[in-house]
Amino acid sequence: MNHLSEEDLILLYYYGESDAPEGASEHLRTCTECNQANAALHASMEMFDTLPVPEPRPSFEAEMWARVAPAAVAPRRRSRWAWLPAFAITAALIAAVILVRPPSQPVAAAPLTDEARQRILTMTLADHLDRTQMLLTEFENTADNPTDLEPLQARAQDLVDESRLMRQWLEKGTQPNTLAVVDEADRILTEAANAGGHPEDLRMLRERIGADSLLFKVRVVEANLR
Amino acid sequence: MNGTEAITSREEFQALVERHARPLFRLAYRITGSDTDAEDLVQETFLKAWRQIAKFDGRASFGTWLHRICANCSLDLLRSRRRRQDADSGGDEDEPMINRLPATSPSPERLALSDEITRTLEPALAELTEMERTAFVLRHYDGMAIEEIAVTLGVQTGAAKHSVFRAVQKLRRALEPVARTNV
Ligand SMILES: [Zn+2]
Repeated sequence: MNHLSEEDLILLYYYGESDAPEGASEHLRTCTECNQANAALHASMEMFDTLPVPEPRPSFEAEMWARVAPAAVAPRRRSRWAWLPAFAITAALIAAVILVRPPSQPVAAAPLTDEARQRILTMTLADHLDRTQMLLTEFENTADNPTDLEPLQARAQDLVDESRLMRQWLEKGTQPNTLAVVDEADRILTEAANAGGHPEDLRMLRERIGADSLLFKVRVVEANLR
Repeated sequence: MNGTEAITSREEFQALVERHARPLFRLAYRITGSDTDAEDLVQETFLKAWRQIAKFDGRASFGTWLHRICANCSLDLLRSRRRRQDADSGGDEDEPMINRLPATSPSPERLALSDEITRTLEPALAELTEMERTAFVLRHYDGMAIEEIAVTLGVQTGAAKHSVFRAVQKLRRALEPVARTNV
C-alpha cells in the first residue's frame, strides 16, 4: 500500500477506521513515515484543545434567565393540552386570578404576586387572541356550506364569553390599542356566532373579516404579548 | 390547575437554561470568537428553543438539541454579518472570517486570554470560512458525528465532511511555522 494521504490521516483521526481506506490502520502500524505524519497531525490538532474559552461571570446563568424569562411566558400549550377545552382552561385561569380573591379574606395558599398574576393574564389574552385568529382564518376559508358553520359558531360564542370574563382585567391593565383590537374582534365574533347559514351571510362575514385587516392586527397584538 | 402547570414547565425551562447556558456559551464562543456575540447567541438559542419546544421530538437529548440550535444561530450570525459587509464593500464569499470580525474593543475576559496560544491559534481559526469553522468546532470540541453535523447545518454529509477536512488542512498550514519551531 502507498503512504497515507493527509486526507486518510484526518479521516482516521476524526472518524476512525470505518471511514478511512481499507488497510489504513494496518499501514500506519508498520510505516514509520506515516506514523510521524500522524503524530504531527495529532500534535497540531491537540493544540486546539488548549485554546482557552473565557469563563462567563458567576452570575451568568441568572442573568441569562433574566434575559430569557420575559419571553417564556406562554408555553406552547396548543399541542400539549389539546385535550382540554380551551374555554375551560381560560375560565379556570381567570377565575383563579381575578374572581376568587376577595381582598378581605385570608388566603390559605400563598397568594400570587402581582407580577405572576399579570403574567398569567397576559398569557391568557395571548392564547385567546391566538384562538381568535385561528377561528377567523377558518371562517375566511369556509365554503358556502352551512353544515361547516355550526361548530365554528360554537367556538365563536365561547370566545365572546371568554372575552367578557376577561373584561374586568382588560379594562384595567391593557394597552388601549390592544383593547381596541379585542373589541373589534369581539364584534366580528358576535356576528359570526349569530350568522344565519345562508351563503350570502357567510360571504358578508368573510368580507367583514377581510376588511380592516383584522387578522393582521390580531396577529400583531398577539405577537407583542408573547 | 392549568396556571400551575404552566408555571411548573416554566420552572423546568429555567432549570434547563441554568444547566445549559455555560456549555452553549463555549460553543458559540468557539464558533464566533467573541464573548459578547456568544452571550447574545445563548439568549437567542433559548428563545428559539422555547418557541420550538413542540418540535423537540426527544430523539436527541435536550442538550444536543440546544447545541444544534446554537450552532445554527452562530453560523447564521456570521453569515448575515458577512452579507452585510459584502453589501457594503463588495466582498468575497471565500474571504476568511479574520477580515470580517467586528472591530470591537476586547472585554476583560477577552484580555485575560491574550497569551501565546491564543495569539497563535485564533488567527488560524479566523482563516476558516464560517461553514468550515462551525463544522470543525462541532467535530473537534463537541465530538459530533459527521452525519449529525450535516443534519445540524442542513448540508449533505459529503459537504460536512469536506468542511471539516478543509478546516483541518487550513489550520495545519497556519500552524506550520509554530510547529517547526517546536520540533
Ligand atoms: Zn506510509
